[in-house]
Amino acid sequence: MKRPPVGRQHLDVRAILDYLEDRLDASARRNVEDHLAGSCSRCRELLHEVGRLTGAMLADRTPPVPAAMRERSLEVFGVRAEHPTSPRLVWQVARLLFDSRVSPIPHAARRAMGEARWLRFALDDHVLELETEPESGGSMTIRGCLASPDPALFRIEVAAGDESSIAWPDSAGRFSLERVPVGEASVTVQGPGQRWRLPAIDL
Amino acid sequence: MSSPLRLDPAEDARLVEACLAGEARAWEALVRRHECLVYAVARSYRLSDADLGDVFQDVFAALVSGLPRLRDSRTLVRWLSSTTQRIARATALRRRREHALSLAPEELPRLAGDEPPVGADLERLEQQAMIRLGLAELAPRCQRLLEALYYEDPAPAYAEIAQRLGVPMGSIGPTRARCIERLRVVMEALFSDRPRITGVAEPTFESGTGGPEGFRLGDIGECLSQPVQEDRA
Repeated sequence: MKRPPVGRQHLDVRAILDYLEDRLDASARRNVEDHLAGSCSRCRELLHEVGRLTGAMLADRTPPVPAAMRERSLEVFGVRAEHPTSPRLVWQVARLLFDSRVSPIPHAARRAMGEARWLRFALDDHVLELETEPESGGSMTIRGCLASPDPALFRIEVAAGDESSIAWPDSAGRFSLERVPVGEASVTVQGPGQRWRLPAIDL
Repeated sequence: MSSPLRLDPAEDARLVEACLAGEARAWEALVRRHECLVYAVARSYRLSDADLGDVFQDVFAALVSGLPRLRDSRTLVRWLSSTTQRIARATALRRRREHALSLAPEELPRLAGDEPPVGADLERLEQQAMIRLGLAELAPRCQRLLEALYYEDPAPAYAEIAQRLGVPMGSIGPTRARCIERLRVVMEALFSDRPRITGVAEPTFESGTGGPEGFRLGDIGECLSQPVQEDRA
């Protein structure tokens, strides 16, 4: 039963929850489904987002951590009389290895790349590759890959214009950032115990 | 009297700093904040209780050493899940090898039928851990409502929840929607690394009895349901 969602009106979280939890009567349910079947991508996105959130909570059935186990983990703190002092992370500068805008590359490869620009940087033992591609509307997409033993522990931040975007590489090191404003971008990479600045990139 | 420890997603950095300064209470808060994730990943390797306890302790011992470089919540969550996976998997494989060596030659074919260490879907467990951190950001009434609805198995009926929380039954539906909405905003902030949300009104029950209150140790979820003594000398 509950509130039937009104035909063309956007669905709110309550209607979505009632729908997902089967708390609507047949007519209200049909209204929701008609709305979702229409051109409203916003409500479909909301449905997926709320569904993912509640689904993750419903799937989380981790039992309580036994008290004795926790006690042991508390003891390890006491054992270390001397705690490591917090090292001040210094910024290191990544080294540019390749920039398709300035490096000579075969004509066929340049044709295949289209408007994309490829850059490669050395961050000590890690290698960061970036591909920047213009989007419509004056912004850029940045796709990248960080070659590192554990890329998921790194955080990549791109600051351009007044905006700042952050990406977390997946376990294969891949990441992407969309709608990055054009102009000079400052890219930083932070990993466990290290951080780097890339030379400024003109997007 | 010391003030109660507060847990919220932005506090990892502060807790790490306090741990580095030698504050045992900060260490306890950090452990409580992330223990569910470590426990969930380690359990997925089907270890004995003794091995599970060892893995749990080893992970947190490693965390003590790694503290200075693990201030950010997401980095910390990822580090904890991958470190637990590595230690638990090594333990499971070691046990499997020991078991193989203890068998008589004629028993060895039995091993082929043994299931290998299973391991966890880390991404899913990390997401669940981040949601728990997000829940800790909500007002206690919201936490209790969402815990009852989504973490209790089976979920209690609305009537029972209303009785437990001392609110009208008709307020449960709208309030759960507002709490989920609030959680979405918190999660968005957590995942996008934006500054913490300030000035967003906490959902209240329609009876008007809800509102922002501090989250305290032991308030959240089944996993953290055991109370802790908050005021210590």
